[in-house]
Amino acid sequence: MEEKRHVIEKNFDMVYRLALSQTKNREMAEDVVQETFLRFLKTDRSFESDEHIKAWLIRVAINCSHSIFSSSWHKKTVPMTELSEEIPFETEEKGDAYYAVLELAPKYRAVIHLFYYEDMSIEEISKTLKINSSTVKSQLSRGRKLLRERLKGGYDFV
Amino acid sequence: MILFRKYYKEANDDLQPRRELIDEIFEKASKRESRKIYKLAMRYGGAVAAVLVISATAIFYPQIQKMNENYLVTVSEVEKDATLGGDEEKLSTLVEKMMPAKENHAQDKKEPKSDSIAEEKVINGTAEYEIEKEARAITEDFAIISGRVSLESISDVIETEKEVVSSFLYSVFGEIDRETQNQHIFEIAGKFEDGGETFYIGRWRWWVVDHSSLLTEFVLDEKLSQMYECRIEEGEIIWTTENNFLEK
Repeated sequence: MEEKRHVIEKNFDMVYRLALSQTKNREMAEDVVQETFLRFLKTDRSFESDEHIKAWLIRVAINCSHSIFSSSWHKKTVPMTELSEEIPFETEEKGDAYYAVLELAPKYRAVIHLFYYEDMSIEEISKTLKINSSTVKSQLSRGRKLLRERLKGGYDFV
Repeated sequence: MILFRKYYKEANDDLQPRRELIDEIFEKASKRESRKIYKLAMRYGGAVAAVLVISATAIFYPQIQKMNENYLVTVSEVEKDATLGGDEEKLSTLVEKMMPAKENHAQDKKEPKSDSIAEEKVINGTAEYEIEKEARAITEDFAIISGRVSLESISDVIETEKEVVSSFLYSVFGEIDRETQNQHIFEIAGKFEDGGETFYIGRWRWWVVDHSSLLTEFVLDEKLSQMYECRIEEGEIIWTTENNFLEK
């Protein structure tokens, strides 16, 4: 159990930020984090490496986010506060970059987040999300194009 | 040029999760574990008792037959039969009959997930194997699925009806959880029909100090007599009738 606790502490921020980028809502992101790590605590699966654990957590977190998101809870229960009303970023650039990503469709958001925040390569994203690398490439390219349009061209997407 | 990567990273680094959430996850995991044990006790308590009664009957059946007219069994007769061990065969046969799944054990041993084979403790002819198998099934995210419907089939519930259902749940579970002193929050999201019955679907939360924490999603029948844990996965509501919350 101590080992699992160590893994959770190590990956806690990563899963939370990914969940937040997917759900756009702190409360729902916490639900996703909770469910992801509960599944991790329950699983008997043996992991080969830290990277393997991270990939598994990313996949579960994204699946949990989609489950919550597609469940229409946000439509049928009391509307929750969206992030844009909550976070005062220190600089305009940070806020612009962050909220531009949140405006993208979930599939682009996931790929953009993993590429630009987690510094994962196209191949790694492809393996983690279990989608074709050419699909990752095209989603990344489409996501960048949409971001360029939203950010009015002042950004470099290296 | 402004580096998108730099600012996106810095913005994310500014977002800090609540560290208390880690302890809450472990607390919830421990609660789920207790609930699993409770479910097993409820499910197999009767079966184990029945096996014990039948075993005892099988052991003492010869003595009962040897009872004299005064319905007394002599000590010597009991001692004699106990030392002979002649009923062992009858007992094992009887238990085997109680456990018809024995044939399936061979099948189960071939097919379970490779990482769990080593942990399996197979004791032929007892309920222990079945209980362990069941424990594993319950922990695997509703391996025992009692019902499923598409999310598309959910219809809206009018506010007054939501209030009636919520009031009922508060009357059953109280406004405050006795053990933790956390406030209950019941949200009714919609309703759907399954097998001629109408069910509400809702979410049960606790208000913990300054935030809410999800306990479970649930389905509740319109007669307000059955309430089961459910999960929403890939566009479907999946539930298990293992544990009716309203029977506790």
